[in-house]
Amino acid sequence: MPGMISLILRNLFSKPVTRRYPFEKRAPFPTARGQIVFARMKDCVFCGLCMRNCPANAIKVDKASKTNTLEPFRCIQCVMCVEVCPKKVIDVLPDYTKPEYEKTEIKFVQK
Amino acid sequence: MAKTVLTFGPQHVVFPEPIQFKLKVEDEFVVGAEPVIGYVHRGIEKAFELNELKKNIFLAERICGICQSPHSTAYVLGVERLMGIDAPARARYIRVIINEMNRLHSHMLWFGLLGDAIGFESYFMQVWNYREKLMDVLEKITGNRVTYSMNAIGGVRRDISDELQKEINRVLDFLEEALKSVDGVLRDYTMVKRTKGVGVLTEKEAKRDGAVGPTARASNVPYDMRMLGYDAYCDLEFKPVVVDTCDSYGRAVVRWKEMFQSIELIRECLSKMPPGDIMTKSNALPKGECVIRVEPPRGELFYYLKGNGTKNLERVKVRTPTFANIWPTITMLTKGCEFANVPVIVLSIDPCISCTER
Amino acid sequence: MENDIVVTKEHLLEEVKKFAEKDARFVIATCVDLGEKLEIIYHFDTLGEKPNLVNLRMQFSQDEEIPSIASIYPCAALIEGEIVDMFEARIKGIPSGLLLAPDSPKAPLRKKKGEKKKEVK
Repeated sequence: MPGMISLILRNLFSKPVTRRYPFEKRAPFPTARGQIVFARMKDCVFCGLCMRNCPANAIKVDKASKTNTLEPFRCIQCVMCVEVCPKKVIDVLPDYTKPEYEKTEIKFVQK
Repeated sequence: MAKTVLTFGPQHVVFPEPIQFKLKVEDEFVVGAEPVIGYVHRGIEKAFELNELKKNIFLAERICGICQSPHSTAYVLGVERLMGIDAPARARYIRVIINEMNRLHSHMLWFGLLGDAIGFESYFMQVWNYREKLMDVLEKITGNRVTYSMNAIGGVRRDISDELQKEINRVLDFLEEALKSVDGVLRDYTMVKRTKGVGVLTEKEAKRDGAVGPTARASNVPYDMRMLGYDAYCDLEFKPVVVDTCDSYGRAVVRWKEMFQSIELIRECLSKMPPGDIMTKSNALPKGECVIRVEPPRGELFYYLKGNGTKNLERVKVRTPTFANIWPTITMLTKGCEFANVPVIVLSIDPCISCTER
Repeated sequence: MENDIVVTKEHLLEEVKKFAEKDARFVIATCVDLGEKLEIIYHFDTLGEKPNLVNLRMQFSQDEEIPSIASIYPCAALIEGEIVDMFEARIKGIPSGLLLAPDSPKAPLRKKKGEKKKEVK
C-alpha cells in the first residue's frame, strides 16, 4: 500500500525498536508488581492473614517454627498480602521472578 | 458434486486457541457449518461457587486474557449491587479509563492480527509497536502489562497520580498521530478486496442470532452496553459507533472508529475526574440476585450473580461475547462463502475461545 | 430482578414467540439449582432506545423434559447444550457433550448433598 511506503523505508534504515533481550534489559517501572518478599520478618506476628487472603494459596504461615513459605511459581503477584498485612512485613519488588528449572519454595524464618 | 466435510481447526494458524468448525463444502463453497467447542473448558463457574468472594475477582480476571479488566469490573459491580454499596466517583472514573485503555489495546491487537492474516507483516509489526507504548503506560498505572488487578469490591486498588495523567495524555496524543499514519489499511486495494462483501450478516440476522459488539454494530444494530451508563459512562458523552455495511469490512471500520472514540473517552475522563477517595469499605454480605452487563472490546459481557448471605456465591453465570458471536459466524459461513474466506470471517468476530468455554 | 415474567413449560414457546415477533434479541439462558427444582431464566433484550433486559423464569423438576427454544432462536442451541451438560436437565432434541467429555464429572454445577465449600487450587 502506497501510504505506508515512506514509513516502511524509514523502518528499514533506522535502528530496530526491539531490544536484544538477554543482553539488554529495560529497567523495571518502580510501580510494577514483580515479586513479593517478606522483607521485615522481625516484625511478623504470624497472624496468617496473608495466607488466608492469597487467592492462589502460594503462602504458608507456620507459627510453631516461625516460618513463612512462599511458592513464587504459584504466586500471581496480586499483592493482596501486602495490602492486608497489619505489620507491613511484605514488600513488592518491581523486577520479575526469574525463570528456573524447578519449582522452588522460598522460606523466610524469623530469627 | 457430492458434499465433503472439511474440519477447520481445532489447530489452525488464524486461531490462537482451539475451536473446530466442521464445514460442509461443495466445490469451493461452504454450505454448512457446525461448531465443536469444549477443548479448553476450565470449570470456572464451579470455581466461582467454591471460592471466596474477594478471591473471585482474580478468578474473574483470568477468564479472558485480553478483556480481563471488564470481567473483573462486571463481577465487582454485581457484588457491589448485591451488597448495596456504590464505588466512589473517582474509582468509577478510574475503572472507565482502564476499561477504555483495554479496549484500545485490544483493537490494536486485532488490527495487527488482521494485517498478519491477509499477509501484511509490516503493518502487523507497526501496529504492535505502537501498542507497546500503551502497554508500558498501563504497567506504570496498574503494575502489570496484562493482568491489571485494579478492581476491588467497593472501588479500585490504585490511584492515578497527576504525573501519570500527563503521561497518559502524552501517549494518547502519540497514538492518535501514529494510528492516523497507518489508516491507509482501510483504503488499501487488497484489504478491501479481501473483506468487502465477505461474511455478510444482515440487520435481521444479527438480531435473531444475537450478535454482540462490533459484529452487531457493523450490521446497523446500535447495541452497546455502555449506553446503560454503568460506572462513569452515565456522565460521559457517548454514542455507539454504527456502520451499515454488514460485512467484515464494516467490522474493521467499527473497530477503527472505536479506537478514536476510546481515546476521546479517556481524555474526557481525565479532565472530569473528581478528587477524593477510591474505596468504599463495607462488611455487608451479598444477598439476592442481579444481572450485570458491561461492554468489553469484543461485545456484551453478561454476569448473573446470586448470593445467599454468606461469603460464597450461590451461582455465577458468565456469558462472554464470543459465545454470543459463534452463531452469527455460522450464519455468515453457511451463506455459501468461499473456503479461502473462512479465516477472514472467523477472524472478523475477534474470537476468544478460552473465555467462551470458561 | 426487574422485568420478570414467570412461565410454565407448557407456555414457554408461546411467550418466546412473542419476543421473536417483537424482534427481541436472545441474550442467554441461566440455569440455577434451587435444591429440589431447577430454574431456567431466559434473558431477552427488547432493543429499545437503551438495552432493556426482560427475564422469563421457568421452574421445573429434573425428571421433566422441557421444550427447546432453538426452533425459534437457533442460537439457543449452544446454551441449551451447556445446560444439558452442566445440570443434566432434559431438553427436547438437545444432545449432551457440548462442553464436557464422556469421562468428565456428571452434572458438575448441581448442588450435591454434603458438598463442602473448599478452596480451589
